[in-house]
Amino acid sequence: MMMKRRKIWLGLGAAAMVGGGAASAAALEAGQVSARTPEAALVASAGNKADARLRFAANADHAGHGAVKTAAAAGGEGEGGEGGKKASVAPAVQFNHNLALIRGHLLVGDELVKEGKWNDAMVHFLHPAEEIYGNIQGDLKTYGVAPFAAALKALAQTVKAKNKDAYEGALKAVDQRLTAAEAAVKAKSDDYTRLTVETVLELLGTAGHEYEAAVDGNKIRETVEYQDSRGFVWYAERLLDGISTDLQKKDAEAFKSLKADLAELKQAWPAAVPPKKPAKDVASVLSGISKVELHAGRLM
Amino acid sequence: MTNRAVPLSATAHARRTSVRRAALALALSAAVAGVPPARSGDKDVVPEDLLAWRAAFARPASVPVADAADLSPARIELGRRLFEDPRLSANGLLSCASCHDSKLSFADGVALGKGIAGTPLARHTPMLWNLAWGRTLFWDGRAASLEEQARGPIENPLEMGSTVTKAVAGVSSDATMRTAFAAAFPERPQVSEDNLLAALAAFERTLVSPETRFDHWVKGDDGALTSEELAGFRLFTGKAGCVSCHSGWRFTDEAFHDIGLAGEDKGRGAILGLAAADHAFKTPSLRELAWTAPYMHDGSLATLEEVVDHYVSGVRDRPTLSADLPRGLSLTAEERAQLVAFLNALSSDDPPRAASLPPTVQASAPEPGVSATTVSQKNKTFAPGSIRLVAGTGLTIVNDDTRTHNVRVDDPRLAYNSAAQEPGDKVVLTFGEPGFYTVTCGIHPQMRLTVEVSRAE
Repeated sequence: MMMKRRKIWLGLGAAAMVGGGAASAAALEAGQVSARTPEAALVASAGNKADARLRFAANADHAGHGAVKTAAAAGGEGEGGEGGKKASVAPAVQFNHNLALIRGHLLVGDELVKEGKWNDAMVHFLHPAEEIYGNIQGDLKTYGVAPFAAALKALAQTVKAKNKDAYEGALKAVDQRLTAAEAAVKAKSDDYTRLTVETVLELLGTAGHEYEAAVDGNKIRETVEYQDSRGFVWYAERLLDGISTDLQKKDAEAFKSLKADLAELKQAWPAAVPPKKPAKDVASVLSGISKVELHAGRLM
Repeated sequence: MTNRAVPLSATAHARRTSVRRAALALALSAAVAGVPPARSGDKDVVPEDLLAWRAAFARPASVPVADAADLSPARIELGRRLFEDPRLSANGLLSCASCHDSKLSFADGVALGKGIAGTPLARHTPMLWNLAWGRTLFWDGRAASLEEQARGPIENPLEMGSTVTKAVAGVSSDATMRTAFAAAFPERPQVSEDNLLAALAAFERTLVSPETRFDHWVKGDDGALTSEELAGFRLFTGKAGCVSCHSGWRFTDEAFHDIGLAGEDKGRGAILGLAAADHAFKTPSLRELAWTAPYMHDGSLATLEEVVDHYVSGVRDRPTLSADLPRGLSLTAEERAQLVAFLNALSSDDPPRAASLPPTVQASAPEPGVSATTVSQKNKTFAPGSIRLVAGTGLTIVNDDTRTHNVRVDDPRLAYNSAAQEPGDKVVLTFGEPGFYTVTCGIHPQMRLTVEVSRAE
């Protein structure tokens, strides 16, 4: 995964709440938010709406997919890789986010497998075991969920072997483990709908980072990061679909807008194999993510 | 020459209670290993008790082949090439590696693989680790050697659908293969059926599973296993009774057990023509399990958790259930997790690559026997294991064990099958001709009794 120092927008959970446009503008003026971040675009387009409920991250040191370790674990860049932990994010959301990152990897990897692109898929089956699983071992214990490192590795082996039958069985085994973990999270959650929405926003934030890392001007330089971001966005949508009934009850209009935002956002990834030129530039994608966040705020 | 089976105890079945059998099996299993058994359900097993098991699971210092030439580099390399050669199949598309994929730990990752017929096979593809030490091959043990085993899939109409004769014809047209055969078999340099099977067997003998963290612990690294894994080991050797069958460094007693899985497959019973061995299949090794799911002879259990759950609540009760199978086993969720953690510690952390064969090669030679006319069967062992007697003298074999045995002699001079020999039963064998004989148990092939018969004065 990309390991570079940059100013980024970390998403809802990892940033400071900014009450309104004035504060947002202040943050921009203070140089706390990169000019490339969606906040700039959104602030410009949304004016000074006090209810924008935007959150900004200031000059974050970042490693990999949303990888910000807890205070105890943080050690600077390169730490954590995918699925690290953010001190400001609730543990349940962090755990669920990491599970979703695994899901996103498997999702896009599965797309590639179905297209017969086993070699391209391989990395997406290796990353969960190598970069994410280590961060959830403690959570699995806390939630009473059986460990599944071996299942993840065995799944990766079936991809390496390009064995479709074995792959399907191994994928099913991992899916069962993830389902059990997700069920445990749900069972212990007081407000699963809110937890899910927060997870979605974390996931989209990570997708934004990945897309930013993948795209360089009018070229997609990093195929894997492009695919990562696709998997995360696609899985974010699945998460929302899973609670759609609750969200419609809360605010049907906001949910409808959120779905429309997602549909628009997804156009950045026309296929698992990246296009020669980006369908959307980075600013558009990050802005699209912010729009989702804007509407999601009304659903929490 | 008369050979009579004398069932002296018709009420043996009635005497066997499952609880007694399970408990006794545990104690005997520990005794065989020369170490004290872990105490059932005891959370306070002293470390020394656990450490004492190290000897029982130590990896071997030698590999059992009669002739070092069987494992010559040229023969192994030829076997490797043949293993991956699709010319061994009828359609030229399937090789041994098609089902025993090295990238999948020499398994196929599915419950039931498909061969040349395109239909699911009757049994799950077994992994191939550590077969050099195997006593019998296949789930039902119908092959007595790797050479014999190698013929099976080639000639199975559902698997590779060919014959070894055709396979030889297929590869002998290849000049490089002719050269390879000549190098591998300098004493008989030809592409022949025997050589082809011997080469395949040689390659398979090299598939030695690498050392795992458990092996490091066995060798003395106290920190190699986590506390959870050690707790699982305590259960494995104690309360759960796994070690009754999964014994030794390969974690198999090489015996055949009905463990209560669903299905009509008769397994070992069909091979022996012995109803008492119906539904019994060979105890699989537990090495590299993490890489070789799914599990069981029918591939019906997808995960290790499901395997543990089976022994707790999934066993189908029937008369042929193994005496070594724990009855009424109850494990908490934590204990199940500990067992699974331990089982995972028997697998490599990363995809396994074959380790080197042990450096020494042991010669097979009969042990010197003691003069005896009565032999006891106890704890899956003949005692004594090697005897001398005079031709025409009756040899009484007493089942002092807690499990059913099946005394057999497969020899041109004497063919004998005791049928089911229940605990307490005795059989009497009479050897008419001088020479060495091997008496085995059809259900527990590791049981070997060497009989040196001398001519009557």
